[in-house]
Amino acid sequence: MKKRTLFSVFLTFVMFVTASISLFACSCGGSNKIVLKDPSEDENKSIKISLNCEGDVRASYEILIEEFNAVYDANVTASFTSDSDVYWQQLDSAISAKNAPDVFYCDPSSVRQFANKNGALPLDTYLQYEIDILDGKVSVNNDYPHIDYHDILSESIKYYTYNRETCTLGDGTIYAIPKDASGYAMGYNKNVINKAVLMGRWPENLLFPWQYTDSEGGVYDDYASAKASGKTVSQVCYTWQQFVSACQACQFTEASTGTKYYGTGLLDEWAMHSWIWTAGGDYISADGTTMTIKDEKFVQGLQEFVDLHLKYDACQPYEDSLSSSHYDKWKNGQVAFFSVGNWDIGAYDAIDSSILDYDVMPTPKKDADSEWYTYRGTLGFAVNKLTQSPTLATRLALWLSASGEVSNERIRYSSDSDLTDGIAKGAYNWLTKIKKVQLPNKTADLNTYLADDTLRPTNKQVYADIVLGSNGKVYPSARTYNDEWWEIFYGSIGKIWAGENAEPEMTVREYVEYINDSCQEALTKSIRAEQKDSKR
Amino acid sequence: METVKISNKIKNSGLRREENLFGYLFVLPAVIGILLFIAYPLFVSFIGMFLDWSKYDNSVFQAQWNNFENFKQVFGSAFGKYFWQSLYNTVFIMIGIPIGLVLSLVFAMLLNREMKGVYIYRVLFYLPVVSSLVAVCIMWQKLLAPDGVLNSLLGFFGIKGPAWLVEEATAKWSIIFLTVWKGLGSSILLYLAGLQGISKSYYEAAEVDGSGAFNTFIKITVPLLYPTTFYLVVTGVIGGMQCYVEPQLLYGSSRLDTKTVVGYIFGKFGDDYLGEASVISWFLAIIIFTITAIQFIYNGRREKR
Repeated sequence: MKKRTLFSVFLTFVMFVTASISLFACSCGGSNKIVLKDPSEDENKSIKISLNCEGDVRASYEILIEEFNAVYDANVTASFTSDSDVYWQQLDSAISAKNAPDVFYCDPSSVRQFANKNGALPLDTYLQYEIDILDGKVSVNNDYPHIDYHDILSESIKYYTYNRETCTLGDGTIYAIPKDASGYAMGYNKNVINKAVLMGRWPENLLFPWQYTDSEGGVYDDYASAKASGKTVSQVCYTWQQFVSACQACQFTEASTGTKYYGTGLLDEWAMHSWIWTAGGDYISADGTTMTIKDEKFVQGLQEFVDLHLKYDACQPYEDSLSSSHYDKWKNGQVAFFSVGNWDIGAYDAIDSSILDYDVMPTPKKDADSEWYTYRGTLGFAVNKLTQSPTLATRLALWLSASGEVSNERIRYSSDSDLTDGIAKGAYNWLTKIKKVQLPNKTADLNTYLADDTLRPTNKQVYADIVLGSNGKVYPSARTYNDEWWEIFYGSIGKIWAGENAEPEMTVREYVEYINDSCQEALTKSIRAEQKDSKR
Repeated sequence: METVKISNKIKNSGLRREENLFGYLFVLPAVIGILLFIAYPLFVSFIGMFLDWSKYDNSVFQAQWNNFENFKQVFGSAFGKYFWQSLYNTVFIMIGIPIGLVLSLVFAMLLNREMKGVYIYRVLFYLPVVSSLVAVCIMWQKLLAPDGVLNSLLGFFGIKGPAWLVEEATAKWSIIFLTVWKGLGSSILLYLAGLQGISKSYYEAAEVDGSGAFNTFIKITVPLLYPTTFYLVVTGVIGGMQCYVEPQLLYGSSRLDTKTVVGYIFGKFGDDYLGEASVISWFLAIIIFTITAIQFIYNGRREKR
């Protein structure tokens, strides 16, 4: 009896204490002021990141990581791989062996695999925590900077948002922070075009790529005068026919030097999509389940791209590119029109303008009524699901993606540097302004970049149009769970090409008929694999 | 009787048991290595042929049984033809084996003669063997380019050379040229060793009997070099069936007309179809084993004769 009474008293006491604590916690919540210990302080500060880059990109990340270490009292070790194939193979093996670095690359295709196969950490909680600190909902006892992922281009974030239940990309949980957003614009070399004009080869009535027009028929000779007009202007965008004429005009051998100039030089792997998309075709249906390569619009687009190379004498032949690539010839000033990726701006800026006086324009569109489209790329930073430092690793991903200038007394640059000690420059400055290897990831930074006339190219708006979604489309295989269908489609595409001595084995129509069933079977198989893996 | 007793005593003595124990301990690392790195992977890949298996599974035993689906996918589906094409490509590239054997024998005969600077020639022929394969492939890309050295030479004789690396008809031949050239040095070296091991008395006897040079070559040199040839054919076939690096470096992984069986396995692994990769791996292993076994049986019969 006595025992029972004692037990009842004890139970009442426990209930009273529990209720009191709960009420106290609720009242704290009401005042929006929870003082918490920042989880990153308990985490292991030594984390690893694996990157696939070289040259200026690597140099930028090395400095950014040093800055991160100083700003967040961290000890990040980076490993760099320059060979892309090796990087992805090693990463794949490391994830399957549960030995991956804390932060690693992913792309829109691999993020689905990493999410389903428990390689990538769902980041929503950690991203929200950063926002809560910024909003003052959570107070922490340190001065670490925090980044709101909403400031990052939502058009890029969507490629790393994945719903495992519905197997849908662009919806659900965030599994990675965009490392970059990129795209191929059509670059042109003014020097070659001017030579064609001097030789009288440039077609009459064909506007120059650097000209702008307004809706009232006004034509402006450059970006500055177009901007000064105060009207809504748009840059010249050639139709297929105009592009062929322009390229043909620029394909000649200079008599005085014997130098061969080419209208264009395009790699099918990256450039043919523009022709297919602007014709209204696509590789797979909008719901991602059916191959649509037999569609007449697809065939028309790809056939025009093939004809550009084989029929019109407007292009450096593919087989020539094996001895000196299109890229080398472009940098050598011998190509009039070339796919210019924004990551190469720094490299092109370093070339003397007497050789390469370049700028960019939209890729050609089918006709006046069509829209232009081009390749839009993106990579992301994923955090290892097994990391012991999820808060710190998420902050590292955010820092490398979207950091700006941060004052921190621990920042010390080397003595021969002209940088200011005590100020971390951050991702935008290093990657976009100084090294010129990528577009900004934050919306505000993108606007600053577009307004900055000191940065080339002049028509940066083309890149904005690509990455903000209206004119850029991701690589065909990035829309599917794996790329087996693409390997089959692209693996035999040589059948529609031909060397100088041989006719193509197949027309485009014959090729798509020949390849469609195999691609469809591989696509269906990948859908089955995704559905199975999503239930892991 | 006494001897047998002593022998049994030694056999059962502590000394012998200790000796045996040490013996087993010495071979243990090798046995563990074989079990871990050969027997276990063989077992897992064999089981994997019948499983819907992902590389992200914690263990192969987590994977679901899917009967013969992997076999159907590899051999019977709409894109099964790409597997057969990769097998055809692999066998086609192996044409380089007899070409390489003939050439290396010819060069070995030439280098076996006493002439000025023979050692320099031997070093020159062996240089490709010790050269980096990556560097070699880049060099061959330049050689076989439309305006490369080979086509320039052909152009000198009024022949317009093809785009070797582009056209389907010549792409595989380009790999054959490269592999033959790269492997010539080591074959020459082995043939040279074989030639120098043939006693001169055979040739002297043949000369006394009035045998001509060609007859001597066919009747004496070729048969006595048979062990070397046998070794080169066996290792050549095993290596040829596993050809991967050269096409990969010359053409990348995307072209199906130059993709070999190992490249195809690699692609399946990349796409996370491990069951299918296991089927192809076992199929390849059985082919190699069968060809090698036939060669050994033929060799055994020949030696008995």
